[in-house]
Amino acid sequence: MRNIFRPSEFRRPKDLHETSWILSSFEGRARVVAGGTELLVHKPLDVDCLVGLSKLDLDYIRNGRAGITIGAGTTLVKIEESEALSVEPYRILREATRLLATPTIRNTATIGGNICNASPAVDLPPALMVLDAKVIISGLEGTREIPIADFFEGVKKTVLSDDEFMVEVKIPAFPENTGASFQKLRHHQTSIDIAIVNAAARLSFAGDTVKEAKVAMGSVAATPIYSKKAEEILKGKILDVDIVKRAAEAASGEAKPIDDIRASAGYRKRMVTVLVERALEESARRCGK
Amino acid sequence: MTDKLSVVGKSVTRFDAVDKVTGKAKYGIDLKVEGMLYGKILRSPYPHARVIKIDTRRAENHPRVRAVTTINDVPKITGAIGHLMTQEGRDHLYLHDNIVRFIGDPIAAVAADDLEAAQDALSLIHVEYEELPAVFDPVEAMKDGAPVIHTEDNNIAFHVLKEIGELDQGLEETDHVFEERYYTSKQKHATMEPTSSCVADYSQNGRLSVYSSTQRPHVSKLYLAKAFDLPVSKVRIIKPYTGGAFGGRDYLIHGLEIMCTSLSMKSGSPVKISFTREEDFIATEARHPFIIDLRFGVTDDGILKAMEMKCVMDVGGYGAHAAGVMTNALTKGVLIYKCPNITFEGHSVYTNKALCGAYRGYGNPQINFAIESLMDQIAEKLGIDAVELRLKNYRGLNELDPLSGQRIESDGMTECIEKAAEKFDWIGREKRKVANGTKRTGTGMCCLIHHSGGRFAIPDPAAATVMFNSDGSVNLVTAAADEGQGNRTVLAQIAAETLGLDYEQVSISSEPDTDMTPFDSGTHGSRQTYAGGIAVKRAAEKAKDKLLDLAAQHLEARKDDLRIGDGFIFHVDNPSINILVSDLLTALQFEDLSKGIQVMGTSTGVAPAVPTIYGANFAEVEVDMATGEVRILKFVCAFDVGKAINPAHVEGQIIGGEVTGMGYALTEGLITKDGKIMNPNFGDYRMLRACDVPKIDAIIVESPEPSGPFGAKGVGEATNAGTAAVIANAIYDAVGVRIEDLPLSQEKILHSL
Ligand SMILES: Cc1cc2nc3c(=O)[nH]c(=O)nc-3n(C[C@H](O)[C@H](O)[C@H](O)COP(=O)(O)OP(=O)(O)OC[C@H]3O[C@@H](n4cnc5c(N)ncnc54)[C@H](O)[C@@H]3O)c2cc1C
Repeated sequence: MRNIFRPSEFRRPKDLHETSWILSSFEGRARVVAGGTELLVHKPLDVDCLVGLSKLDLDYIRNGRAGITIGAGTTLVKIEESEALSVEPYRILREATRLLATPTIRNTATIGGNICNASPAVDLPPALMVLDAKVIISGLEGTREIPIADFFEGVKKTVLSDDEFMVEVKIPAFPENTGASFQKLRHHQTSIDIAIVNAAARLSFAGDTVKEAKVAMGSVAATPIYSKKAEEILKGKILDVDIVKRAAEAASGEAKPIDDIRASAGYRKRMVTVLVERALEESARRCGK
Repeated sequence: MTDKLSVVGKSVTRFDAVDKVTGKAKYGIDLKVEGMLYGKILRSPYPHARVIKIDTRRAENHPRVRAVTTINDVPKITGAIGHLMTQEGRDHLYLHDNIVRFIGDPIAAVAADDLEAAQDALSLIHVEYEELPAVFDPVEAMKDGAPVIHTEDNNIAFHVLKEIGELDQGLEETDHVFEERYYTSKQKHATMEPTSSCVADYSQNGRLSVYSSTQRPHVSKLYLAKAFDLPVSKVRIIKPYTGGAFGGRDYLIHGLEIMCTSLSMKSGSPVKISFTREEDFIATEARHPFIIDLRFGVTDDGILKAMEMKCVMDVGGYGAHAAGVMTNALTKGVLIYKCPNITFEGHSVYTNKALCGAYRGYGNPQINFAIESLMDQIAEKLGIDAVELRLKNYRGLNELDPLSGQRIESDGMTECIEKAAEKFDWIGREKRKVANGTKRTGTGMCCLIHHSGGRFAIPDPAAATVMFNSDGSVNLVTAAADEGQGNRTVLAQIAAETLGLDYEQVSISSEPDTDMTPFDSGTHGSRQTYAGGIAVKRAAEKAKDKLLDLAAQHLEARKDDLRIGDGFIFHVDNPSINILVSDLLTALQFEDLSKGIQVMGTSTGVAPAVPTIYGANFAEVEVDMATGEVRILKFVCAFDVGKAINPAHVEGQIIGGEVTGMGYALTEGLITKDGKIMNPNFGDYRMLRACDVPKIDAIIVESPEPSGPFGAKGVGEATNAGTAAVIANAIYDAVGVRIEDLPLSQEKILHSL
């Protein structure tokens, strides 16, 4: 194997089918490049061909009755500044983006790259998970649509097969009385630091009771995960300090973090409690509870 | 004197500002020389191993490879150690033998037509190793039976014991004894330009030219001449602009210039090697981690009677600065307070870890963190205000420095503390305390000293030449290396002021070239404005004196009656007796065919003293009790620099130093596991960014140093010496926990709450 990153080809296909055809013809040695802020930093050695998606028109945010659709090639700066994403509960996407890296990186990094990267610590997936997002995948056989949580299989592993790539993210419409929140913990808040732990929550209320609750967290397992137990504790309840605390502790119990150079597992577990608690309080506050 | 200054004390624009901000300035990493090859270094994957065999045949057969060199071919001196100017230093040079002592230790290097070929060729070199037992903990390394890394038993690279007074008696006579252990981290310079780029060229006239962004061009020259057995005159160091050094380019870079030169000698072409950022992190020097045990005895009213300091310093695989850094920790530890009974013991110990070396502060940030944390504890326990405790004990004006025997001639400590305390509103700090949700605020202070230059410890010559041109303008010639701090601008200001010229009339080359400049020991130890400045001032005085001599003859006047101003030399009582400086110089040099005189002055020598720089820091922080996160809300600091020749530069030094100090306090540090650095990149090695840092109020205090140029002393290394302590003290005030282990990570804070 080579000891340096040196793809011999760069392709910019004009349609979805051609893209899949090129990807499949390299049998795993072709890689989609979007903003390149992950790929070109890590420079994997097993890449012969880079496939750019810029001619596929995947850079858009559309607002419809069924919700919001975001092209996989949409830059993070566009999300950060989007009108359509300035309302509850979508605005957590803007907020999560603003806490990610630096303006220069956000100018080129894309939402597709953020998701397909499949790093345990990325920021948009937990936010998208509590917004019930689905991703649209295109391949030689056509397209398929799957819930974002099912997209991840492990650290740097996704369900994508050699010929497949991501084209769109779909987020449904939500009833009134829905609030969400995204929380990220970094090292003493150094501005350009990936999450030690991140967490997102969404609460939809019917009157004073929680009709639906979603809690997701990142950097605590091989993939971003939901806390099903927290959701169960919250559902159908009138919120109080105690329930929020119990839900946060349940989430912490479901977190399976590891020790690494960024933080210990013990610290991460404790921080899940703090972030989930803060996310739930903020979500409730955002729909006036 | 001060009211008459016209160039000194002004924040003139540095001469290289426009080229630097427009990207025109060429740094080491930009260098290109006609016909240049590209070099790459093969590094050890083991922390400790014997190299049995190196097979380079396949690499040599690579079509684009021009030369391969190995540790068996290069001269038996490493680039990292020592001090060529003394016999003791020469005896301490470590050989590049067949042992590798840290992960990243150079083994071989390749020069090829392009970088990719060089990189490819590295994978064609086959090395056979015999792994040796390794030791990573300095305390373990000192035990009997530990793996021996060099030849010394117990791996002790340097030991020092300094006893002043009677420690035991001092401890007995006190009312309280305080004892604590501190740990400090391995901070990396992380300069904007990766530390190492050099081009070595042995292709012409049997001379070796090395383009290298070293802090000490003339020392590098001596070093390379010695290593390659060349006459010193045949080696030339040309320094490009440097993207920051902070001690990281003191002496040679381990393996770099030596391997690069060897490749140039073998290939007959110039060769360039530039380290990647990762190589910079794993294979160049960093700040030494210390383990510090303190035991202080104080009286009820807070007078220090006994100070015991015991330090173990981890020097990594090679002992660069093993003596220097420990000795500097000693001088700062011993001199900050006027205690009658002091014992300082230091052990510098080899481990199989990456290199340590000079880094701004040079042992002071470590010892200051310990001392000023303990002083804070003493103040609290005795119920004495932290400021008052410092004022009672510090060693100031007219005190005798017990190490050098010199009297302290300038002392701005009281002014530093008082001015900073007032700006900070130290008195009102209790009223400002906030407890909001999980957030708590707190305040702290600390003080510090540093010194300008190393005259009493190491050979520290400085030299300058001032040359008048026939139009009255001046060229200043000095080997003072400028790493970005602007010292060459400051030296030009000193020359202009001394000669009575405008700043614009003095020109200085952008960076030194050893062929064109006399010996200067380099830019280190906060010395260049002070020691370099003295040389420049003396050279300018000599040139001025010469000019006035010649003018006196020409005008038939007494020299003492002549003055220089507005481009003229004139009689002080009768200004109609005058001559344009340019007319006189032109006449002397060109018009009078019998003369041909260029007016110039040269000074060589050493600075007379090592003046003390004083400083005080005040900080206010907010700690989140739920997460352990810290934010610095307010930061005020004051430094006594004697005289700010260029106040904007001084402020730049202060702010820059404090920012790296904040990183040292909170987030920075190389993490090593079994000898491997786990965070060799800016994603995992966390430096603070502009938006993480509060406004820093930098106060300049000027307590003139009689021996300094226009009263100046240094500032550079004082500026990060006290940052860790002040932040630790503020965190304690906010949440009541004292963490004696740098960095003060949020995880450590939370766990101790
Ligand atoms: C300094 C720095 C700081 C960072 N901080 C953060 C942070 O705080 N939080 C965070 O989440 N991330 C962070 N990142 C990581 C990265 O910038 C983001 O994850 C970004 O969103 C990646 O997007 P991209 O378009 O640049 O991806 P690329 O680098 O182009 O691609 C990333 C991966 O996704 C694949 N890919 C991209 N698009 C598609 C597609 N449409 N279909 C299939 N595969 C695709 C690529 O093949 C590649 O494997 C940081 C990166 C840097 C350099």
